[in-house]
Amino acid sequence: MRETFGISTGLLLSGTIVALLFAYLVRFLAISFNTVEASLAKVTPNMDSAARTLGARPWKTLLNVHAPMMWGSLLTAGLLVFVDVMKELPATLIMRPFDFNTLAVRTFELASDEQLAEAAGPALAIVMVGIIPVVLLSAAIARARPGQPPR
Amino acid sequence: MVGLSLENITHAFDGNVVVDNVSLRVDPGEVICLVGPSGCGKSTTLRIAAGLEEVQQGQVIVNDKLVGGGGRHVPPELRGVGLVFQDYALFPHLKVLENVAFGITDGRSSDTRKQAARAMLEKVGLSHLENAFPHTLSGGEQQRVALARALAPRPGLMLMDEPFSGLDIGLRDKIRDDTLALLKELGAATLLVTHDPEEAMRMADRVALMREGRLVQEGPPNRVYSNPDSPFCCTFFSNVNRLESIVDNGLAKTTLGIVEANEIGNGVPVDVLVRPEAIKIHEPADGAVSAVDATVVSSRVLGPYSLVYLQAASDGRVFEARLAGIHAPDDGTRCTVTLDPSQVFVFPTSSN
Repeated sequence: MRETFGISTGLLLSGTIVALLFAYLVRFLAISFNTVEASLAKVTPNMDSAARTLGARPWKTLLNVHAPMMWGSLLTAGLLVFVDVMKELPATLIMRPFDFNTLAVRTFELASDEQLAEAAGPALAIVMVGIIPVVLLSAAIARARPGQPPR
Repeated sequence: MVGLSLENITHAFDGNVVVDNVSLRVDPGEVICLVGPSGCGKSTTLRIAAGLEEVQQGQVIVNDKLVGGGGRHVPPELRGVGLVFQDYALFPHLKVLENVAFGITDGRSSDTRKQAARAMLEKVGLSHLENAFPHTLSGGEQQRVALARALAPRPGLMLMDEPFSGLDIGLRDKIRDDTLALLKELGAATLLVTHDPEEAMRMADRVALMREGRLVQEGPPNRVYSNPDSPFCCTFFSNVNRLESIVDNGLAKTTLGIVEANEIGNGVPVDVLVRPEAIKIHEPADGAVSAVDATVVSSRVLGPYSLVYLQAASDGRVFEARLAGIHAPDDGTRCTVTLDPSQVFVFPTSSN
């Protein structure tokens, strides 16, 4: 790159939000992937074929068949990743841009300075922020599965 | 007017030919059953007609329009075909009425769509279940919803892939008859795939028998049954007793008697296929043991008919006979056997 374009790509992305997002993507893809894949398996190939012969184009099949059937699992996957990203520490510590703090980083810094009382604030905030979406999404998921028997 | 016309369709997966030069025509209002053993390519043929598989060789014409072949591929959503699956493939997140209305898309308001869906539900007798979810329905009800859903857009061509296999026997006959009546009423051309010969005989105006990707015989059910072209066709539609013989002066001598060998030349080894219902049992003839004397080995009454297993006196082989009504001779009863020639078929051994 340096020879051809005269620029170095060495630190182009490191220490930016992009690098952080990429780190999260790699770290948490597996968690969400299983959930989403399980729900994708509920849409059988025959349902696809049925929707197509009933006049739905591929994108309309995605919108009217796949999306509603997978909605609950997509929310679940999003929730899992959200909570995990929020409390993620090591990758954030290494990759974060300057002056960029997450709640977990802040808690870690304060706790390592023995400022335990001050560390309690962001620590409790993680718990609170984590619980609210769990409550909301559980309710949403329960509503998003009208066709399924209660489990 | 053509409902469906397949012309010289050949299809291969990874070099394995699964459909081999199949040509088939279905006219509006006609029900054609495509039968054959599992894996003979009948479902692939159906998928090609629906547009779910792209044509590799040959042509597909649906509702008078060329939809596949010669570099052309019209996707399934633009073909105007209805498809019913063995597993019904109902949308679990939609209510029955919404499932049926799914395919009614021609720009009408949601009220008229619902009206049309209700009318179709009425036809299959399920209007009281329009707000139920598919998983709460019985198999028979789900099957009828799937049928209503496929018929709701009024397709010119109906394709059905083993649509009755999931139903228990008592229900199956009734739903078959109801389905047939509805298909005839709407006048759609119908191609029904099944592995069940009885179902094919019961539903079809014409039966097309497939074997290893090829269409081996086609015609009205009674003609295919009573004039099979090949030993395969004969054995597919019923159990048979198979006897080996060699033609001598136009006749084949077998354990169960002498049968005519029609046009087959002298000295040709033949298989004589005897349907169980071709064997007639009589009181034993007086005097010496003749070639067609037999002893009852066992018998079973199956309700409308009885199975009797007979051991031939001459060579000790055991044959299956099927007799109408209740007929249960004691084991060891001696009898004489004659054959009904219309249910006995002779093929050269090499034709198998």
